[in-house]
Amino acid sequence: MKANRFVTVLIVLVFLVGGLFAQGQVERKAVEVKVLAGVTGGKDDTENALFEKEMEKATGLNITWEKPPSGYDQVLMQKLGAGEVYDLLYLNQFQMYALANQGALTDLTSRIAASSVYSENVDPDELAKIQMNGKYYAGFNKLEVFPLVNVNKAITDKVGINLNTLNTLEDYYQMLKKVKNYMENTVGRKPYYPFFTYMPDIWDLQPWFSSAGVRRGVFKDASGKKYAPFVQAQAKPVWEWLAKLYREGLMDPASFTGKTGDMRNKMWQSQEIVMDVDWAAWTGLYNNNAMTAGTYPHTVNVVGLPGTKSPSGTFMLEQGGASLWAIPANAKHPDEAFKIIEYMATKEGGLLLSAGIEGYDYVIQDGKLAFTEVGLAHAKDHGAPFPISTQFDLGVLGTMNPGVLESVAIGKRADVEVAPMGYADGELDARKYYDIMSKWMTDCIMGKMSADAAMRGAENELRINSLID
Amino acid sequence: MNTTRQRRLKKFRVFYLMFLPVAAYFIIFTYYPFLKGLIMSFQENRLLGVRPFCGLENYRFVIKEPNFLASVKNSLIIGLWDMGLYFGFSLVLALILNEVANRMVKQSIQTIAYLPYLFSWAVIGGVWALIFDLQGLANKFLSLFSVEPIFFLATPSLARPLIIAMGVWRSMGYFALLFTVAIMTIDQQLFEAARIDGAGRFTQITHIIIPSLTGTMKTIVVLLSIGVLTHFDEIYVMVNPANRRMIGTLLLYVYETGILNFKTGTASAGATLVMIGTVAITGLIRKFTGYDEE
Repeated sequence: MKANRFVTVLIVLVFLVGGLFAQGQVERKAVEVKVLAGVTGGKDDTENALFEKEMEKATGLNITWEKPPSGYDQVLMQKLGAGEVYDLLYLNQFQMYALANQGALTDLTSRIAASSVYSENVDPDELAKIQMNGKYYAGFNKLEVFPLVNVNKAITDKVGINLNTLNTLEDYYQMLKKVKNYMENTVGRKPYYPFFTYMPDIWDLQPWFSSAGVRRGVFKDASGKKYAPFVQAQAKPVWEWLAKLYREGLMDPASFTGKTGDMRNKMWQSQEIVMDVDWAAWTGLYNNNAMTAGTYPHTVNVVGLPGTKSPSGTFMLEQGGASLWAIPANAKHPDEAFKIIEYMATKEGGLLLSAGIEGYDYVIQDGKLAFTEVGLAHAKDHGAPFPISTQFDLGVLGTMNPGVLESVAIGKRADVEVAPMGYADGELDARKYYDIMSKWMTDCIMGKMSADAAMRGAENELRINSLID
Repeated sequence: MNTTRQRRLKKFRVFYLMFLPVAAYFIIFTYYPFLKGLIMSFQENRLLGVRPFCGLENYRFVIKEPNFLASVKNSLIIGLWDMGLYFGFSLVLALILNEVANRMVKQSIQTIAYLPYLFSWAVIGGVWALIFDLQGLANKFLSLFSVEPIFFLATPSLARPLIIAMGVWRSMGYFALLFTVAIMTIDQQLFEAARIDGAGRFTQITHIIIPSLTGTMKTIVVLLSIGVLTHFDEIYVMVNPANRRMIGTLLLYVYETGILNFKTGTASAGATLVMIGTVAITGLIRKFTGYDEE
């Protein structure tokens, strides 16, 4: 009898504990949000686990923060193609357009409109830039800055050039000529090519095309006809100017074959160039690197410049393509995923995505952030060096790299227009556009054909590929 | 009949069991993805959810693409030159190595020739950029003879020769090793007999070594023919706006048009066409070389 009672109690207990455990599992599963992240997260596996915990603490969710160490685009394609289900995906703007066009992303328009976090933290002008046919398919990862002209003032000062007077293509041409002459004949570095522009994606050209009042990419006119301003007549003088720079040895030939990393090393490490076009954040990074190498500011002192004035008197710069967070159409937990999107738009989320993890990347001392050795190595960047929240004060991150705030401030000047490239309402096949343009215009710059012929060739190929009408 | 089959099945059951993991490996990692890719090539470009069938639309898109034909042309030129030169240079290298009497010298040359094969294409690309950059070693060498610097990496007419040479430099040692192994298996009595008959080294090479290598040659040619249309890594590391027209190959086209744009259907159709081309080339080569003949 006793034994029977014992067995009964045991069975009840087993079911009770099992039931509780199972219920716990169900509850855990219900809030488990799977995230596939690109640049945002920890810098290595250890930090990524800490980042995941911080994100869980902040949102109250059970999160799996998967961050492939490299080759994110391929991993994204392979994972989604293989049928793996995620609740949140890190995408660039083109990827967002491509997936939204395939119906693979959740429409977030009503969620974003109803979000108090977004209305309190996100600039409506920024929000408008990621709209696609009046709808939103993603939220922000960070605030995008812009590339601008970076010049090593330590060298131009020695040549006696006043950088504040540079406004036209001719001004920059004269400056480069003087620098080349100085470096080759006075310093004795021959040959010296003072200017580098990364040609494969015709990425760095906007500050020069500002002089013609045109922008990179493909736009739609009022009738919906697609056109590419870089192959229109007003762009010709800029292509001819670039060809002249190459012809006269003012443009580094590695512009066609080198990588962005080569350009950056030539700027701060070896001073093989005096000017390039690079992100506003890089103005500071150049100087910071030079400071570490002991060459700042006497040998390297990079400053940002807005480039050339457009016919209407403004400086036209290009905002970087947005880095975004989107919820796939097959996500199991879209509500929870949107909670994470919202958190990243808050100033607290901004702190995590920039400074990193408290106790690991930084500690609070006297109410201020004090970065640890690890934190300093991570350069205040865990996916968002410039958080999207308008309430986020960059000052909390302490002293910024020399020159970066001045470069960022250029974008806020009244005479500077920072706008994204033309995405043709998300229809542009950017890779093809870059390839066609860089191929033809490289021929023009290298003197293999005239600007007219190259622009005609590029225009034809853009049209054959239905990139323009 | 059935009883015979059953009896054989029973007799060789251990071997069938041993074959099972291999079969499973190929089914899971080769045939299933291939079949899935083939199906995707007939479906709309959708990364998520149900992909409706669209008939031959993806194939039509790929074939109509203006860059597709240029990619086919580039692939064939680079692939066929590579095939010929890999074969020729590695055979010559193996024959030369066979003539080197000093074992240490022979092994050193073999190691040096084989070494590039162990490097990834990214490393090889970096090495070649260092050599052929405008301020690289090649131009420094040319400057000794007062030759104006040549922009090797951005000169379209040099783009294909550079890519082909890069491949030959990387793979020559590997194929030479295959030939060397085959030469080592030739019956030494043949050489002895030839020597007694007064044959010199050249006659021994042309009348003993080369005929003995026929089987290996056929295998290497067929292996090389499989790679004719599949050049990608070396192109990816060396392509730039100035040489794109000359070295943009089929797989680069598939990668850029399909994969980077999440166009799974387009990418699969392109890849299937590459596979059909490869099967056709390999079939021709097999027939031409008599590979399948006894």
